[in-house]
Amino acid sequence: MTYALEAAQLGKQYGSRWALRGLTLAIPSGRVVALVGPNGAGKSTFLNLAIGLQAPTAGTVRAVGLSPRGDAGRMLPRVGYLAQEPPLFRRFSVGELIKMGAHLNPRWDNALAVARMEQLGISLDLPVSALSGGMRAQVALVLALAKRPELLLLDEPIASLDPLARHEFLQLLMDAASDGLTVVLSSHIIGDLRATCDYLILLTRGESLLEGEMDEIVTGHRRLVGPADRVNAIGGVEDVVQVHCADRQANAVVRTRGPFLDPRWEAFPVDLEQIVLAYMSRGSTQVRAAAKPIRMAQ
Amino acid sequence: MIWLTWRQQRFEFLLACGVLLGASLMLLWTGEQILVSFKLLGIAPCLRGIGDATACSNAISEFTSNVASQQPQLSWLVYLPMLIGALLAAPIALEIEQGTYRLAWTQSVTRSRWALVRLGVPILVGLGIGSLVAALSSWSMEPVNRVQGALRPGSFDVQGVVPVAYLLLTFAVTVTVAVLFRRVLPALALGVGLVVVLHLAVMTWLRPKFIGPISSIWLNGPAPFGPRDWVIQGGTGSTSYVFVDPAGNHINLAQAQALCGQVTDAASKNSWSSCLQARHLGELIQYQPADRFWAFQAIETALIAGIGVALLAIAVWWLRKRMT
Repeated sequence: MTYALEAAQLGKQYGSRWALRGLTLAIPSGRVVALVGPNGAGKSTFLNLAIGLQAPTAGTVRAVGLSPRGDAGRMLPRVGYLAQEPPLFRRFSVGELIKMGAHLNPRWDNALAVARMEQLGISLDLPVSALSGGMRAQVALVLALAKRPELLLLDEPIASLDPLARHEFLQLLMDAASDGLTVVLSSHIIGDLRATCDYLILLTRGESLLEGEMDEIVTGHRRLVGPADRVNAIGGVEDVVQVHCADRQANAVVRTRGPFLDPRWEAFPVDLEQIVLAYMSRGSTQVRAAAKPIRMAQ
Repeated sequence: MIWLTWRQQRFEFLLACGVLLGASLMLLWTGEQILVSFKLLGIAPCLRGIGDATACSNAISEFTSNVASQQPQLSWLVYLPMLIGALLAAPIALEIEQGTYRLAWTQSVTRSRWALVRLGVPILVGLGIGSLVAALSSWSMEPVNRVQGALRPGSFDVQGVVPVAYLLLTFAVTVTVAVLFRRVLPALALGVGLVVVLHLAVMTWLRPKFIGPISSIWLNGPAPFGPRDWVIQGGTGSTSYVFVDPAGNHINLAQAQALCGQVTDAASKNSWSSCLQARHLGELIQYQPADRFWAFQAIETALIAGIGVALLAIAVWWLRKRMT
């Protein structure tokens, strides 16, 4: 199987601090991946390493099967990238940005770029300096899409957008992602991602805590409510992610396959945000050495 | 990439061309003035040794003072290549400070190709503009060179290929500082500042020693150097005379004055001269002959352009391997 994006023992050190450490993952082609985690978890670093803006301190990363630093000439035409605050040339008009894309990319789809701008109601004569934050993000996304990439890396694209712009941005992304494009979208906002993404990677402190199909992750976790004195002996679950005790009642987020049958515990579904928060709080309190990535996908 | 480079700094390219145009008009006008003066005063026959000696001496000194009156317009030419070099490097420094190079780096061009075009096009434009300015100012100085030689500081610096080397060096320093520190203002300040200081140091300390000067002891009679040679020790207008006695010992001006008195008027000047002759004290003269002009141009160009190319190599290496 070929992966759109692979990392093996990938690490990046700034001075004495590891922004990313021992990251091993493989993202299958055609997925829309949510790369989530708190600020400073290493999401931007990982995406920068994947597009070759930075070089790894340890390990390897391969995008569309190619090394971003060693094989940039062959990799770059096939991978699109959208930075957190897209560095657009201020002295250019939108039309000139499109012209730049046409000059610098062999697979450039000019018709797509022009049509999308029209769809968004952004005039090609508009100077970049006159664009609002939302429009800038849209324009930058169109530039990345018109490159016709196989893999699209988006670094916190929706963080600075208002809810309407966020919706429009994700809509534009979804339209494009329907034709086999692999998308990796980093975000610290989890709410909007459940509907958009079908694969999840949770990064905390430079390490992957959870990785797998979105649906399997959501259906594979339960919130259990039961007696606090039985909390160390919850039967039939694969993993207890987080336990919270109040009086004699315990509240646990667990990973489990199939139906949960222990009658002393009441099971509720959990949403993505609760699962992510449970893993993140475990990552920060439990034994660090045990925090290995848990693969849900086969 | 070429279109992008042009689009990103077309304002600076056009501004540099405007500067070129202005400098060209001024140089054509000044050169014409000098040429007219050269012809009207009949300097050419004098230089060939034809004509009355006194009349020629007067004509040459008038020509020299005419040229001196043009000097203020020519002296800033020394710094013009440095300004153009910094002007062409400024948009690159700005792009690095603002981080917009990342947009280009995440399109389909490799860093090597980006660096080649993004730096190469302004360098070619700069070399073109610098060569034109240097050629025009060489042309305008040509009659002066025939009288005074071209090796003198201020004259040497605006002619031949040396100005182009300083343009390249300023561009290289500005780009390298910008690449390493990602700030426009320090890059521009250091680019121009360092090169101006380096130029002064080379002119004052290094250039006189590029090739060993010719030494001679001037006892009496005609000067051992010609009017076109560059005298670096002694001679008219010198501030540090050195005298040599028959045994070869060097005597400085204060010691010579202790022996032969001060020069205050015409009478004391005569007695000073005869005192020096009586004691066989000759003045130490060192000079660079005028025909070393192109050898000096080659040495200084190699030195300055060499530093520039080395800095550019560092900048490109950093861009390719270390820049994020």
